[in-house]
Amino acid sequence: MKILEVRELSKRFGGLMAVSQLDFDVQAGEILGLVGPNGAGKTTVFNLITGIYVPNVGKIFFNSEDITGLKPHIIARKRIVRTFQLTTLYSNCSALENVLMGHHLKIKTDIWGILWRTPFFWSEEKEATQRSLQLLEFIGLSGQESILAKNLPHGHQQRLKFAIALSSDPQLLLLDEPVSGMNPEEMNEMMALIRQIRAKGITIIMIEHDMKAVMGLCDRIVVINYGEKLAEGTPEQIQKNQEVIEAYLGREDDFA
Amino acid sequence: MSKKGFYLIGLYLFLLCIPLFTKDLYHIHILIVTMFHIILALGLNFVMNTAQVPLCQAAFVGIGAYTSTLLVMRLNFSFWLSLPIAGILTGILGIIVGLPTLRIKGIYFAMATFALGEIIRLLFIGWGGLFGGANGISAIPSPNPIPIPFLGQIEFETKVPYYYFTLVVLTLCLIIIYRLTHSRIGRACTAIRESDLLAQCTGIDIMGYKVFAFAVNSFFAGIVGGIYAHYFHFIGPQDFTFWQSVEYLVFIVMGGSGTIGGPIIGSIFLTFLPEFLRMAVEFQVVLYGLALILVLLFMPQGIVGLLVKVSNRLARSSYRNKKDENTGSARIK
Repeated sequence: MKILEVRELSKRFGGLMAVSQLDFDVQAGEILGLVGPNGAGKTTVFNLITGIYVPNVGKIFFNSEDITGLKPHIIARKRIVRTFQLTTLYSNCSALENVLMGHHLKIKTDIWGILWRTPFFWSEEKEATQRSLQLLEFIGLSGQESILAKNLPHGHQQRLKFAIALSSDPQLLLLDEPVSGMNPEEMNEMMALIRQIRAKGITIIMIEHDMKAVMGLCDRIVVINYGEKLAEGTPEQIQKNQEVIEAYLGREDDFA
Repeated sequence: MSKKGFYLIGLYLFLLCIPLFTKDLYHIHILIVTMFHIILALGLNFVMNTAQVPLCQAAFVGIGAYTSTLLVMRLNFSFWLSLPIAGILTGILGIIVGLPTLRIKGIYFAMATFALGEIIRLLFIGWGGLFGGANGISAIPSPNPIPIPFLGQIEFETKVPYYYFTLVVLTLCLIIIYRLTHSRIGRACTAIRESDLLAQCTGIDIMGYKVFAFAVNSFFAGIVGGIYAHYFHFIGPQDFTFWQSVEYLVFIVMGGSGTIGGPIIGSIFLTFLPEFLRMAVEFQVVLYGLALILVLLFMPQGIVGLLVKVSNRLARSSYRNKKDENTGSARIK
């Protein structure tokens, strides 16, 4: 079953075609890798899917519903959630607060409930706090609830990003370079975590440069270069694909 | 009951008793003005939590003040009706103004609201027929007496009833701000301040919350304006200048922004400070400026930040002392 369909997606920045005529599908429950050289337009694709940019041409369907050009918070409501490449966190808030802030969509109390402090308000707050603590435990940060996000080590900050994303209960999770800047040990832990998230039934698209992570995690890979799709297939197919090898390493006769 | 609640009740008993101790109405006056400032700083701080700094606070107070005054004097409204109308009208104005201006960020938003504030002030001066021009409006009546069954009525003749009434309003504003801050709404505002990109990708409607916070602040400003007009019995365009707006910002910076305690302490400190400095009238402005510079230099987190630091240090040293006692080791000095 297709969860996301990207059709003829194009985005132009001035004279630069960041993404052009891009077509791909994402199957429910899979991990799809989005790879390509620097500046290939991978992050732009994420920005288009999550509504940060509006495409010039093309459509995006999520569960067969057209979500092209919707505002980011509306798209988040449809349970598409992303993480950012740089450590984008609520730095001056504690780990627990970070995850609680991610629960925005899960809490339904309206302004009167908040002002009157109704029993519903308290039950929701309690539930959100409990769920946040569970999520922190899931990503392996229990016991560090009260540490400010900016004081956490890099690997833990990356995990905290996951907890924030997971707190709004996504169907589709977009990960932008989840293992970048990690040592091998941290990377293995992270890959295990990503597998665990998939096991919860969450579909994942990930951008990643680290080939070990991509090949080890992804069910399918889409390779893009200069904003266009270069290849699509299983990790084995991609590894053998001549065009991909050329894009990454250059052609053999270039060296001649 | 929690220790915090106990302290709060004590504080309120003290505040309630103040008019019984002091016969000097000037003291009461300072306290009333302080409370006006606290309400305004609280509202402003709520907006600043969404990373926007408006510079039209005083003009909005003016809108509230003129609205209530005109309703009472021209249309014979009761103060008790005109006051909420003044608040709601200013709140609506906040929404109307906020929808286009809150799209822009940082210094640009500040400039836009600065311009707006000046336009509103010039409107008060220019539209003489309605707002009384540069002379303002004088002889604004006191609020209507509040009837109390069997006991007569509360007349707003001295400053004392105003003191109690403002205290009630302040308490309500504090409860509103506290409850909003400690909820999904407050968390959304903090999220916007910390990272608007991440906030919107977790489903937070940035514009919605910015407009909401601005509307709450405008409502508070309108309410303060309404009370202000009927307390001073006179309002004019010179009461609602840009410099007033800046002053409210200074209260927050001085106290420590981002907390509820900060604006309160900052407002109290900076409203009382000039009064203490009256002993040296010639140096009043200089000393005020000096105090400001010192605070900004040595307490970048404001007074509250400093208090937190000191209390942390005390807690740590007492912990260390205890540890020393337990282990029986003496610290080398």
